[in-house]
Amino acid sequence: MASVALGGVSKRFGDTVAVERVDLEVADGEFLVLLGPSGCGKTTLLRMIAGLEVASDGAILIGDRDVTRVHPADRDVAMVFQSYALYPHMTVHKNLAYGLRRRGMPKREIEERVAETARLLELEPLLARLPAQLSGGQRQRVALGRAIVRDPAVFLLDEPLSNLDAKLRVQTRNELIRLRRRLAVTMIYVTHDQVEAMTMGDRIVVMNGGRVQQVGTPLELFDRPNNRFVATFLGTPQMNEIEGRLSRASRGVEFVAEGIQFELPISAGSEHPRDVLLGIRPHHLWAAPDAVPGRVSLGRGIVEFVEHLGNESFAYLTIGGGQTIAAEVEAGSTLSVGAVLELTTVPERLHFFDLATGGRLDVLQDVGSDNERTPVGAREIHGEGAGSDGDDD
Amino acid sequence: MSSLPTPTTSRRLAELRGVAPFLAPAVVLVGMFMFYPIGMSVWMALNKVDQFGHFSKFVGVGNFTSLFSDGDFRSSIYRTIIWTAAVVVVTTLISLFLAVVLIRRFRFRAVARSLLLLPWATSLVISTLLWQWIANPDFGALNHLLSSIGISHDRIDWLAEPSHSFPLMIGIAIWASIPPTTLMLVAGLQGIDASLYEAGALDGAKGWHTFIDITVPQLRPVLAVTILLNVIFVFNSFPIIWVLTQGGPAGQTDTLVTYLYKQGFQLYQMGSAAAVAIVIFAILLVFSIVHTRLSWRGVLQEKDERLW
Amino acid sequence: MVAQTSLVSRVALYTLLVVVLGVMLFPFFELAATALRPTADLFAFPPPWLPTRPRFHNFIDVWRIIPLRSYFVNTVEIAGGTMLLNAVAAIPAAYALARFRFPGRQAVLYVVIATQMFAPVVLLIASFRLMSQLGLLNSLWGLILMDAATTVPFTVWMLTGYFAALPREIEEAAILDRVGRWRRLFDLFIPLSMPGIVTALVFTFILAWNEFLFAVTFVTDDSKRPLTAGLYTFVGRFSTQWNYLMAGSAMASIPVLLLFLVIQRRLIAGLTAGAVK
Repeated sequence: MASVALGGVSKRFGDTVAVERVDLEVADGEFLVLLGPSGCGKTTLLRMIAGLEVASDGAILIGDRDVTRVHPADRDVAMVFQSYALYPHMTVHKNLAYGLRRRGMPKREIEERVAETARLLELEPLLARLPAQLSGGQRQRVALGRAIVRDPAVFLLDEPLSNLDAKLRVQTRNELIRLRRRLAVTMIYVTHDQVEAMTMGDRIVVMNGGRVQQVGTPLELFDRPNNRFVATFLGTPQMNEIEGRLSRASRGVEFVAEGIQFELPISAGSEHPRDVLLGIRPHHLWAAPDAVPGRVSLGRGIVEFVEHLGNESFAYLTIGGGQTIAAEVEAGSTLSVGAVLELTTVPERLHFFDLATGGRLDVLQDVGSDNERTPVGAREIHGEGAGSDGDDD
Repeated sequence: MSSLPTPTTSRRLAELRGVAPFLAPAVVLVGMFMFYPIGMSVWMALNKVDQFGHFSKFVGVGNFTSLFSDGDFRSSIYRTIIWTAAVVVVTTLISLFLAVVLIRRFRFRAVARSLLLLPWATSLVISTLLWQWIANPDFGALNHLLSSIGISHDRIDWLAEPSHSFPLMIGIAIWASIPPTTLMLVAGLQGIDASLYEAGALDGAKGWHTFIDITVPQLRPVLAVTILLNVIFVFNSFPIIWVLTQGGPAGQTDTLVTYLYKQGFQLYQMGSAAAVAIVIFAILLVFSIVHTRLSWRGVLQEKDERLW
Repeated sequence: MVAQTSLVSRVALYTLLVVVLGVMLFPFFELAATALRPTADLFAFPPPWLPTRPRFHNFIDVWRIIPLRSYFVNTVEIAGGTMLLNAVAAIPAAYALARFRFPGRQAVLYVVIATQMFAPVVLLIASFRLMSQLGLLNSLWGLILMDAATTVPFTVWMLTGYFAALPREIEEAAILDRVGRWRRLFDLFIPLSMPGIVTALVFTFILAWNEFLFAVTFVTDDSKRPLTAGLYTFVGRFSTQWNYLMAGSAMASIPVLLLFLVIQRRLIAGLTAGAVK
């Protein structure tokens, strides 16, 4: 076990910058997820930690040791590859033992370790088989076993579940969580799947365009996204975005967009008026025939179509400015296209971003610092929402 | 944060030292027995050299000027071009036909393809000896066959007259080049996405139009490779001509290759022979540049650096 | 091809196919027929299409009449030596070119492609001089070295393609398993590229088996001749006994034909590499 620290790590391939000045601390025993769309640099970052890619700039520390220039085999890391990268011509047993043999471990100890790993991952009946004779899930476990058997300080996993079908993916995800508790080892896990990230990670690093966008626990990222990218990347259906203008109003601040106008009972910051982007997750925007008292109204929308996801339903509505936004409706409700519904939300669930930079505007932070006028109801809703967020996706 | 040095001379040296053992055997072998002879050929071409390889006099471009003033040399250049062009053109046309037929499904298709391997696998020397026997004026099958079908009842002495032997050689070279060409074209045809034909069929393309509008353009890269390989192969072919006529009578069926051979090993003009080699080399260099252009796509581009 | 063709054009097509294949294969019919002729049949006029009395004993007698045994042994040694030398030189080089990044890599690849075009005839004069200086005229080694040198570029090229196609992650897994470069070559690349390696090496074996130019130039001692040069000299030496020559030729060709059947599919893929996806 060991901590991992990155300082100003960059990677350039010719003129393209794959990773740009990343600083990161991974605690000993932590499960850290690198999350982002394909091409965001997450895999390159992982490969630099593994030593398969050489950092163009910056330093990488594992434990207290600077390993920036250390051979991958000497970094005490193990990696699980997306394609598993099992040696196709070696049996499962040989696949597990090969790395140990190359490290010159005594034969008896190799046998012990392989047996133990095989037991842990229920690979015992498969030891004599070749990778081609295994199912996808079994291959995945062998790939995991090949890392575990080495007993490394840091585990690196590159989209290890992406080649499994949906059902197996959930199952393996849970197994990984269990395994991780048992091994209590530092893990760095790359994925583009936000559900994996949210359910597995102690902390998540969201990356885009080679840069770290935000680092935090799953709930922090979900509730207080740093910028537009993080806000829209996490959560399905995707967060609604409405361009508008925030300005001072009689009872606080006023948001005005085409066909939308509402006031928030908070003190206005110094920089108003300004152009902003309002973000509201569909989960926090309710569409119903009548307005709910105590909530902020965004006006009315016309139902375009309704999406039933089983335990929840979302309506896509056209609002005043002609824009389509998604809102939650009563699960399984039989709304007809063309129905007119009232859209309401609570102030705590609104996100504001600077229109130009996309950075988060802490408009609602003002609520906290100036809390006399905050409605009590909204606070309660906040609490509720936070508790259920983790299961939302 | 410390920043890493960009690749330095010492690092590059380390990389080179790392790969050197892997490349060494090939470099030594090719260097000693390909590059050294080529370099030596250049030097020999500028000297008068006897059959034992002794240099007697530096003559500069003298070997070249006397070559080009030799009518036999000039006509063998001309003949080499005819020879190469005739063989490659006819081979390509016949092979294209065969390949198109051989990718259809029919009984014995596998047998037909395997039989095509026969002429390819057989050594050209053996094939040519066989043809020499077939072309025997009295007891050979060729004249017998021609008279059986009723084409010609003459006793044709195929190898005595250049007007007969040269076309025969071209025929043999075509016969020998068809199998590899056809099989490569078959591979190329099989690589064409079937959905293109389906799309073409929906667009109303039929038979001949399918061939011209879809097959030929899609096949162009493979065609280019086969044509190029054939040009080089036929241009340099030695056994067919040497076994049949040794370029005779009186050098009337010589190509550059047999001309070179005679200069070197019958007239013992090693310097002059080396000069012929340089001429051939120069011509081939043009081909090899074309070939490189064709086949290096996608293979030579640099990927990421790798330290380990 | 999905295109439907009429019965008439199909009949025409297959008739033409049969004619072309007939011309392609006729010499082999003649080879077999001649090889089985009794000597008396050879100079009958008009020559019979089929031997009057097939004489299989020709295939035994020929070993007495032509020094086939020595030719065969020499040929196997030359082709085998060429193949081994190719393996030693080409496999590590192809691995380095496919998998390492080093200064000059592009230049080396360029040279590899270009040298495939250097016909042996260009080397003939100077290499004859070199061989005589090295004392390798009339030696199998001289032929092995020349055959190997001229085939190595193609082998390197073909194997580079094979090695480059191996998933990068498998090699990286090995790097993390502390497997060095040579070890990766022997433990991973060679076993996993066996079909390609076999194809490339068997092809060099065949090329060396069939090689004629160097063989007829460098070797004058009949006991050192390989099959091609040996059978060729048999023609000039006697008023040719074609039945024996054909029997010997048939036997000289069979091993190569069998090898060809084994490797043809991959070989064609290798020859058209880059042009066929």
